[in-house]
Amino acid sequence: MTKKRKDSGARPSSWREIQQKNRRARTPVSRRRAFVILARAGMVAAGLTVGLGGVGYGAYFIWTQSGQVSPFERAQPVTRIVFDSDGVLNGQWFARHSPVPVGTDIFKLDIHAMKREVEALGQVREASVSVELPGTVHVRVREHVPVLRAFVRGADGGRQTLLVARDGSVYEGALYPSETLRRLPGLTGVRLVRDGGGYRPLEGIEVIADLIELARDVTPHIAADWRWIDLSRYREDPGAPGNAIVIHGRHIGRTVLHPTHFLLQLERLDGVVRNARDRAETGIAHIDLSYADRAIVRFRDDNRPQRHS
Amino acid sequence: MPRNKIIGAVEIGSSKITALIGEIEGGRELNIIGSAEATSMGVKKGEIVDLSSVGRCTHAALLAAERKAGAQVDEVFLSASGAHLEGFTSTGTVNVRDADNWVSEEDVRSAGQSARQKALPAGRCYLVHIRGAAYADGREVENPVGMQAAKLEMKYWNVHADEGRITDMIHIISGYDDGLSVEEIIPASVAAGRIAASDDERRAGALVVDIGAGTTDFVLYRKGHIVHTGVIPVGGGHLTNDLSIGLRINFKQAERLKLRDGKAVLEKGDKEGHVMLEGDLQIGDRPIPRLAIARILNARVAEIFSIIKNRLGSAVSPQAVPGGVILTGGTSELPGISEVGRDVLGVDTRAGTHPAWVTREDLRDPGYSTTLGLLFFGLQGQSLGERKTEAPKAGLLRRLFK
Repeated sequence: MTKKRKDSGARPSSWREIQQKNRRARTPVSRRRAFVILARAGMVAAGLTVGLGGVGYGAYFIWTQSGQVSPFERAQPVTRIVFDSDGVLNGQWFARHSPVPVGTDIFKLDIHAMKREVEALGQVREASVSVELPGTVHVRVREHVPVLRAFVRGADGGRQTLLVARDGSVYEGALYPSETLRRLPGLTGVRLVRDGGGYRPLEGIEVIADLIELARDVTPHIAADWRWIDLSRYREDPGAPGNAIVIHGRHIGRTVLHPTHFLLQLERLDGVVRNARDRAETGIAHIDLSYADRAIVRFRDDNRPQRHS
Repeated sequence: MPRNKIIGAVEIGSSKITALIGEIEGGRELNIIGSAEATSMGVKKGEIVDLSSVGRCTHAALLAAERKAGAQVDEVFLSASGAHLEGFTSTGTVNVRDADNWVSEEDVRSAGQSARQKALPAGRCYLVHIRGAAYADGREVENPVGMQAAKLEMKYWNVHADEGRITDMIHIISGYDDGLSVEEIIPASVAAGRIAASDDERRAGALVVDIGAGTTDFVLYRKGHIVHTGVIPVGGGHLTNDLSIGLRINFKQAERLKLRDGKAVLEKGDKEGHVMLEGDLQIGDRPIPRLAIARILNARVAEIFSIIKNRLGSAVSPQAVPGGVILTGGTSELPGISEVGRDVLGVDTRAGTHPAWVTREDLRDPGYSTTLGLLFFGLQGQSLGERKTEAPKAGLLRRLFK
């Protein structure tokens, strides 16, 4: 019996004087439990070691990969601006318009403000700005795609060409190939309103963009003929009386379409054009497809195409 | 923020080992978060006869309870039973030190020390010293501190046990985990009595009888104090054994018969009535006279109550225990046992009920009163000597036992 007594004589004894620790009383159950506890503790310790090691290594990696630059040490100038676009803009263009000149302290750079400034450039639809230490700034932009051209009187009194994107944004295009611009129909019948240094976006251009895209897909020969799109009769409410999109072309003088069911109207237009050609009719001066299933057609007096300006 | 304490309550019984795990939050709220039972092997009449078997069973129960709780036990409250437990009353007397005879805490402590000074024979150790009544100049008082008296007497009920048997129990617990310690060893009767009898019953005077499988433990309360505890090495297992011998059936059949058709009183229809041994009408199944079952059980139950009556003598009478006799423990569920108790002891006898705060249905079984009592003492910091007997706040415990 393992016990410790201060005095085994006359003093009254208590069970508390009995030595409690006794490894010999262990059973397979308690041994298994002790093993499980030890294994768990080991796993927790290993997990902690791995976790702390990972954090430490991560910190070390960032330190080394960032060229040992610490924001607490000294200023770091912007040495390079990397520009990337999904459209026609390039690094030279951005260098001319960049809100951050090379040499600015990278730690004082407000990339959110920079993003806002880049997005304020008309042709840029969306921008992201990031910093890579020690001195690189990455600017990635997504550009507007022009669907129409618009003309205004410039400050010098001459004609200035603007571009209209699908979302109605009006901007001065840059670096577009002239062939691309030539293919864009002109826009007329709407008033461009100045807003700060630019123009207020136009309403309803998305419908016109859909029409042009569909026409280029379904009837490319007809779409290629379109020179002007007149929106003076166009209303966003499809049920509005007299609602129509008027298109002026070189071969088909004037095409009037209702701003709904473009596919049906284009197919009917294509049918009329083919029929007229097969019959060797003179050119179409006017065709109105905005009346349900009817087409009002007026042919030219001669075969000379009429010019629109 | 200190971590909540996880305490375990372990009762090493003759038929089963019960482990409950409680979480003490903030020192005043108790949550029972795990419970388990294991079949007991190596325990006879409440005493350990095969240490390794009992160790295995106890560790299995503790492990199962810990798994249910999802926590490891920090300390254990252990119940003790068996015929080796004995008790005696002692009185400590001191002359009050203060010149004006104002009784101080120090006087109470000195009187208590004096009462607990009695030396025990070799091989015996004290389990608990339970504080009883206090007398200031011969007047019984609840709390003598602050009163004026020349002489102070403190009564104690001291429970002592065989040191070897207690050592075995402690080593079983410490063998489970090196860091695990036995915080308290409480006589099973004291733990069960705290749960089975209400404050009012204890104050009025009551006898709580916990009839287990191997032993019957009893505790006698008077004016809220424990004045006697005892253990009789006879329990429900003996009832089964008697049936087995008397009806010439095996122990398992006898146990089944006891639980299914057993009753402790003889009734009119028993003379003609029969019950089938197995009830499946297969070979070996046979009718057993109800009368025989009832007679055998009645004789043994009456014997248990007779022994208690002999031990306590005139301390058990309607005048001495107005709160009556309260039965608890697994065997207290035997039909008719209260009637036999009433006949033998001559005092109103009834089955005990658990306090309302024990709302978990599985823990309302009378077999859990001892372990619940252990947890109760765990919550109170086990202060038998300091009379911290007030119940935990019901509002808290109602939540805890869900």
